[in-house]
Amino acid sequence: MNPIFEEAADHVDNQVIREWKAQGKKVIGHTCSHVPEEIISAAGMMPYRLRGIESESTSIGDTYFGPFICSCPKAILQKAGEGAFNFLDGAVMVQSCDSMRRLDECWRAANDDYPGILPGFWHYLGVPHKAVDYSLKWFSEEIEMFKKHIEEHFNVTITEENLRKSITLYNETRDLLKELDEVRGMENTPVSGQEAMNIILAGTAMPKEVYNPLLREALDELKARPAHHGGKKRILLGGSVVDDQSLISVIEAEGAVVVADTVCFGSRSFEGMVPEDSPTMLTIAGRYLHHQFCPRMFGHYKDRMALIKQKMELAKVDGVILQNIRFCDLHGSENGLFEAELESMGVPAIRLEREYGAMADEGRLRMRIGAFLESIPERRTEKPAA
Amino acid sequence: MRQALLEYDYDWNMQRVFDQGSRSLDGTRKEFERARSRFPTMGTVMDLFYQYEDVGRAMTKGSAKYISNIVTARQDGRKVALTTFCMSPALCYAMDVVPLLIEPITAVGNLSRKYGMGEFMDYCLEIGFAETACSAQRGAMGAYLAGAAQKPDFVLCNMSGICDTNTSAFAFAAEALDLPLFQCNFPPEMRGERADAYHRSDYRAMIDFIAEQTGKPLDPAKLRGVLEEIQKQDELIVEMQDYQRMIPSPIPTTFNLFMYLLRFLFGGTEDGTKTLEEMLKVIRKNVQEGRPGNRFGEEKARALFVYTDHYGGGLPLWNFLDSRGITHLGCIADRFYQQAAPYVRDGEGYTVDATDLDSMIDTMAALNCRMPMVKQIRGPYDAPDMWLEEIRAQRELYNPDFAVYMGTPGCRNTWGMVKLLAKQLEKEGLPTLIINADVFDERVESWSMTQARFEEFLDVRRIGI
Repeated sequence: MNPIFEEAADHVDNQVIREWKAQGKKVIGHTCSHVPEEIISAAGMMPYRLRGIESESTSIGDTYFGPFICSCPKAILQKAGEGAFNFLDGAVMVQSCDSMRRLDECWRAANDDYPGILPGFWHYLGVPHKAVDYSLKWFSEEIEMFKKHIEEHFNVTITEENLRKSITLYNETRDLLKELDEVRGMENTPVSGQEAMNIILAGTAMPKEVYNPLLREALDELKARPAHHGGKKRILLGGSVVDDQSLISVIEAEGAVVVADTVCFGSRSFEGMVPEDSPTMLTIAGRYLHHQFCPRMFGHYKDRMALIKQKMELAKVDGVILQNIRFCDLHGSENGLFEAELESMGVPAIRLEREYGAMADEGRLRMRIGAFLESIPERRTEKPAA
Repeated sequence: MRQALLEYDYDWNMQRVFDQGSRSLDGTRKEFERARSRFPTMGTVMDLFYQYEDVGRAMTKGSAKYISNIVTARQDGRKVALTTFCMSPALCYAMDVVPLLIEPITAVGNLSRKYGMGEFMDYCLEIGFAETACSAQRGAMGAYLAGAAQKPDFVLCNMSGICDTNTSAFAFAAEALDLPLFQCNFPPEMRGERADAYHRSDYRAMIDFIAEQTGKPLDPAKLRGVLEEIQKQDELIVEMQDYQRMIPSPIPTTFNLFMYLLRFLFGGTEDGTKTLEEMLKVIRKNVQEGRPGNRFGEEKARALFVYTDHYGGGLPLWNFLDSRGITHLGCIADRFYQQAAPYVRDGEGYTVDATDLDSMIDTMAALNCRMPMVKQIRGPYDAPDMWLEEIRAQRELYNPDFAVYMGTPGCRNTWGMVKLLAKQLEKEGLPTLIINADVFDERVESWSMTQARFEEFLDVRRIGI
């Protein structure tokens, strides 16, 4: 497997970004899967999904955020304060959830104390919480304003042709990632959950024109690989942000394999396509607002449960691990509903609450996950690979 | 949950307590004291109501009537909407729906139950709701989820885009109780053509949803009647908030609580208007006599609460303020943004326009999108019309000696920006205290600890000494 996937998954910065920047090209960071990256890409820039990985403390984050806040935006602010995102030319803030939306003010305030950490381009994108005619109109106007802001700030023009190309490029990425989902859901899957997650995460930290060929190569390699995860308990990982491999590594170290997920950053992010024939801001808005797999889109519990069931079916899952970062009320409350419904269907499920980042409470999680896996009956039919 | 908690329906229990409590205020002092002994956990509150005579009677009778309406709705052929304090109930009254406001019902339980609402809060966790979610909803919601109260008919949420924990609670309840849900969603901006159009479309969608649930369309005549009452209530509230500028303030310490409770429970009803009129009589009398409204008899300091108050059993916050001669200058819950309100800037507030059905609905939408929290915490705290601007305007008007933030640990939205707010206010010369308590759940921090933090702050900053 190309080592760039692991490098991009494990580090804030990576070789592709360095090369991109060396060519004088721009990078725009953002915080949410509801940001239409196609617009950024059509401007010839690289969209970059912000993560707080590699944080060793939240001392800077805690200075600006209050105590009862998800540690994910705190970790992002920590990295920002340490200068780790100084390669960004711009950033887009979204009211994804109540913790993440305050990254806007906190980052701006931190810039007073750590001058130079705020990118020159700063944009607040208002994403509605429901998909109806007037919210689609609102969001399409927001995307139009976002496009104009980029054009004015960077003195570029986002042509219709470039937008069309960008949409095609992104749809191709989604198709390829769906293929990856199929491969990892195979009986005797040739890919571990950790490896699959690295491949997915790498796509958030490099331009899609670089990523897609690498992804195609990786898929070819995986399909040619002998199966080697047979006999293990097959897990679907659900819930809030998982943007590094540490949690999956704990699950897999306990003898399971993660064959499917519905986590933020994971495979739920590539559900749904933007129509390619006549791209407008409204059709782009439609893809992103009808993308209701995050509980920030209230009132769509049943759709999200349906997605879990669909993935369980496809990947022949033995159990479901539902996790959320502490203080994530969106996933925290919905995970409770999922757990009850899954258990009523006879599917073993567990809810885990954890801190963001490199396994601050690894021992506790290892014990709970181990006990959960022990409680799942042995696989019904699968045999270990020869 | 203890089985004993299910022996009496929570809602009927509240109805009986408030009904009997309100009757006790009609009697002689001796009769009142005899009745009071039957409500030991409500003693302090009953004393308060007794002290304010007509206002107290109107408040308790109104509360009893409000709760009675909830429990008897079905036999009266009306639907019950599970909803939130930050949605104006006026639309429900105009559409003959009984609004069940979950947060005030939690507060009512805290005031009247021996151990508050803790066990109901915990029941929510037992069935899978997030333990870090807001206690304001978890309290009463627990009773409804446990079946210890009559199941409502549908859910109206007014906080999508404002507060995730609140919206999650209503979404969770809708799924757990298998009820139809409507969520009003708010963009991050409060004003402007786009925001106005969004608010109006969303509000009309809510009206359609309610009509679908009840089988009855919105009656323009009823809506007009409700708006007329709102207009009267607005005038009364604006006058009170104008008096609040006086030094010393002639407003009795608990009146801001009464004011917003009335607006939450009885917005657009005659009962609400009558009680506000009674309150205003007391205030005017204080003005005429040059008396401060607090029971201490002197105004030692003025406190602006930038978020919520404290809803522990016995109303300890208000008693504490009274005992120290600290004037309560209001909190986020009593700012409704009528255009005539003294703290409102040009175009920031709403005005009642009852010309035709469309203008009446637009008025309701404008009112609804300015409800507490809905208005000022939807966007960045330092953006136009948001939290910082609001507090600056109130500071200029009301001359507070200090500001206080208190809420619940579940309030993700404000905890994400309150440190910045406090730092900015301090920079501008306003001492600001952040309290880490849970104002609905004293198990998180006891009132005595909260009081100690208040006293320490006041001593260190030499305020009101």
